Amino acid sequence: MKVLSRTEEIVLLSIWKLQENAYGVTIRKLVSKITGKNWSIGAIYAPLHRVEKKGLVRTVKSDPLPERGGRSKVYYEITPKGKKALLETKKVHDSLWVGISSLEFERE
Amino acid sequence: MDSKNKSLPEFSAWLLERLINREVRYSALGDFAEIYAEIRANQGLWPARIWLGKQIFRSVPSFLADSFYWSGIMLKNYFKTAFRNLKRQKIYSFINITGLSLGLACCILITLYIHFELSYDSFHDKADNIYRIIEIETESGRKQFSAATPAPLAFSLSEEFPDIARAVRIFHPSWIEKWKISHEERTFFEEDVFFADDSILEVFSFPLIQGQPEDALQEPHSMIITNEIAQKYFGHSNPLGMVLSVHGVQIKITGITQDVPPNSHFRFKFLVSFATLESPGFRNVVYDMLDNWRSHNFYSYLLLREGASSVELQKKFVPFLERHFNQKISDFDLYLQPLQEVHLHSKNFSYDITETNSDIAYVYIFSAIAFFVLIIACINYMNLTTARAASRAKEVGTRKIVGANRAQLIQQFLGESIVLLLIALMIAFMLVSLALPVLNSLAGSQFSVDFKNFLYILGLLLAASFILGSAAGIYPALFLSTFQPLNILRGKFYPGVRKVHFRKTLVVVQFAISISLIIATLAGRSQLKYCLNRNLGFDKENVISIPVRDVSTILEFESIKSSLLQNPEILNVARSSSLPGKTIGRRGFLPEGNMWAPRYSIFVDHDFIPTMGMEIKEGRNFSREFSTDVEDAYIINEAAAEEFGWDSALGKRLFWRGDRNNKGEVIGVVKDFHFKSLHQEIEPVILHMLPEKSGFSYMTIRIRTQNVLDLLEGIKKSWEEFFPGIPFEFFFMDAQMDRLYDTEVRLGKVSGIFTFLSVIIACLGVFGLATFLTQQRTKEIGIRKVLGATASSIVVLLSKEFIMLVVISNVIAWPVAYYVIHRWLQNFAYRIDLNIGTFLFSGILALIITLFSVGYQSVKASLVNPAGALRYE
Repeated sequence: MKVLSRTEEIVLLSIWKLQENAYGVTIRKLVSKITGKNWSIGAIYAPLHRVEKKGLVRTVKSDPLPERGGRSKVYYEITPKGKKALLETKKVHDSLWVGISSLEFERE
Repeated sequence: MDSKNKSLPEFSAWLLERLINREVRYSALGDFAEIYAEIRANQGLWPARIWLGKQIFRSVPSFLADSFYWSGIMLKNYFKTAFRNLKRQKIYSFINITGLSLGLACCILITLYIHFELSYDSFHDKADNIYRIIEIETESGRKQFSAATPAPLAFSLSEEFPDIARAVRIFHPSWIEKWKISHEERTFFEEDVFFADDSILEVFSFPLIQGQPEDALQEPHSMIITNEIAQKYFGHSNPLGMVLSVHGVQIKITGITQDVPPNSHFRFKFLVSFATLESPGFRNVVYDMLDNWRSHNFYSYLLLREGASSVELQKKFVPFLERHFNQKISDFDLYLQPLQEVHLHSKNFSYDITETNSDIAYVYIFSAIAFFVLIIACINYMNLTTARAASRAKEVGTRKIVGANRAQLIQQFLGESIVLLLIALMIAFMLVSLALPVLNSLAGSQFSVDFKNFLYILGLLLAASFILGSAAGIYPALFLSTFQPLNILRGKFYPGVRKVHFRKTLVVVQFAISISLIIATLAGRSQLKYCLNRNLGFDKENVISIPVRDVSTILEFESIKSSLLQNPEILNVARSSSLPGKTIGRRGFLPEGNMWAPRYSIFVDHDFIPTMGMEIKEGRNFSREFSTDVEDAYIINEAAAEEFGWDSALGKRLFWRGDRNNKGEVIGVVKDFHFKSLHQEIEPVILHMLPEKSGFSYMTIRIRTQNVLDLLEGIKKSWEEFFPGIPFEFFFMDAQMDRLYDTEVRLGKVSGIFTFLSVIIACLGVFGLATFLTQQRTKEIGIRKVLGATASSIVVLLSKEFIMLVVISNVIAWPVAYYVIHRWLQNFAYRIDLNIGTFLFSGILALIITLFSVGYQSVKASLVNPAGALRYE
């Protein structure tokens, strides 16, 4: 299976971390906090849409809410396939990092 | 807070609605609303709005990128299907692309031509304010337009009317065909020698490469030459300040200009200062013309001040004209012709500065042809694409079932059309660059595709394929996208059965256009043939004419004449001031019982009428037995006798040179002869005698021989004996007369080609439609054969329908073609009668061509084994 792109990985991990409360606003907040960069709504939805198309997440709608202009919250939920993809990606990372940690403090 | 305040401002919502990819739109809009509401509650309205604006701005690229990503994948799929279809249906694709490419190539060529014609004289910076003076004389109700004006006119006008900023006179005498120009040992005879005032460089834009534009043409004996001439005479050395002998006068080169662009209505190679004309060397060219108000031989151009109106200005001319022009000439007026109209709107202007003026009618005719060929090609495309519907139906059905909506399908099919058109356009451009040299040689033109503006062309190409692709593709797209998936996949649907009528209509339109074009081409040809073969009132065959431009020729005429006449193959030798087909001057005459007016007149000698093979209808020819003939005798043509209202013309009086003492008598009436092209009625003309030893322009020889080349060689030899150093030039009278129809000949050739192409394209269309219809009726044919139908009866059955279509097309085409041809023939004073034969022939031709295109398919269908056809299911 393909290794996830960095953005996709970040988005997926955030969804996983947020558990029950993963929808557009919260995902964007978390991702912005972790990366220290202010993500635009568009920038979040592009990878969200892609992972959804790939079947790595699925969506569940809440009841319509007034603060969303009468719209539902669309919650994202990681599918087993998504989890598998995350683990695979982690494995790739880990195996790449083996033996590199000791270099971390070396001076030039 | 009510819920309305919490939702997004309307405009932003509307904007986002359109920007955000459909699949995430719902949830993203919710997010926008939620955060917007939160910020608004915490920080107030304005910070919320600012945040919203910023967010929208920042989000757009991501949203767009995302939607492109997905539509890109679809696009890839569309391309794949499009190319698969092209490959699978080789014949269809071939017909389609060939038809479109041919049609487009025609269009591109014609566009080039039209663009060129319309661009005449537009390269002058001040083109919008430059006008040419045209004289209008109303003579017995007929308006005569003439481009030639008296020399003093232009400057007298500019002195009197402050609206005129500058005036230019140009002199380019038509009676001198070639000028003798020599440099050291080398002598050439050049045609394009013009004389002009120094203001020409200020009014027109002929930039100098070398020399000072301010004073290049100020002094007498100075001139500007073009780059081409500089190369020809001086090679690589600098010609500035060098001297050339023009007409035996030494003239210094004071400037070199870029070659005059081909889209200039006058094209000089030598531009001599006007002041030079006053020098004694040019006396025998201009005589007393320079300050004579009655000698109309100069072209006058005016540069008006910015904002001045030519129409208003013209109105003020009346008192000026009364003061300066002969009172006896009634109904005289001036017209200021805008410079950019000179090339296309000078039809029937006499004494024009150039012979190459075209006519706006030809621009219209060719635009119409281009438009029709394009329509035929597009119809073809529509027809073939809808005919192919059967093979696309399953695809459409499947796409609809997996969720494609109609808009997407329309997009897909339109996209296919555009791609196909792009391919066709590229092929068309290749065809154009191959065809241009051929066309140029046929049409005697010089267009080129300017590949310098490559990006511009590329943009144009894309735009054109987009527009045409949409135009030709919209019907098939709409049609194909209506299929109901359920019906198609159940195999119950036979696409196109209902829509066949529409397609037949298209074929009828195609054929009507093609038939009209065929009729027009044929009728044009017969008119042309008529022009070339009509009895002109003189015998144009076997006549050689030698233009005379040297004094010694004039003086030695009698000696060379008697020497030539010793050859039994030379029947007659005559001299004259002009000839039919050449410019004929007008001189003021007062025929008895009429008014003074300028009338065509030719100075001839005793032998002119027999040499030309003209016939005397009444009276006698000029005779050596009557010594008074030289001064006092006139021969007029029938048209003159009629116009002067003389029942018996013989013995009637004629006065000329504006003097009642200069009278003469009509001694004969010559049968009408055409001295202009057949576009014009035969006008009154007066023949009078050349005084002995006076100047004349043409020496004309009637011959009777089997071997023209040897005879010409003989004439050349005698010429060189008598006039060593003067080059021998000649032309054949018949060729000279035929040249009057050069434009028509060219038009005929070019429109013939385009007609041929349009017929081919239409045939391709019929072929496609026939294939489709035959396929549809495979089962029917099978059953008919099983029941005992013969192969020939099936061919007839299948062809019958197309014969009907062609017949209907004829019914439509005939009146249209009749009307157009009739209009065109009005250009000719002498014309053919349209006969039904042309129409019938075109109709039958179309029928035969159709039968051939349909024949292949129907024969193939009739020979199929019925068992195979019926197993189809």
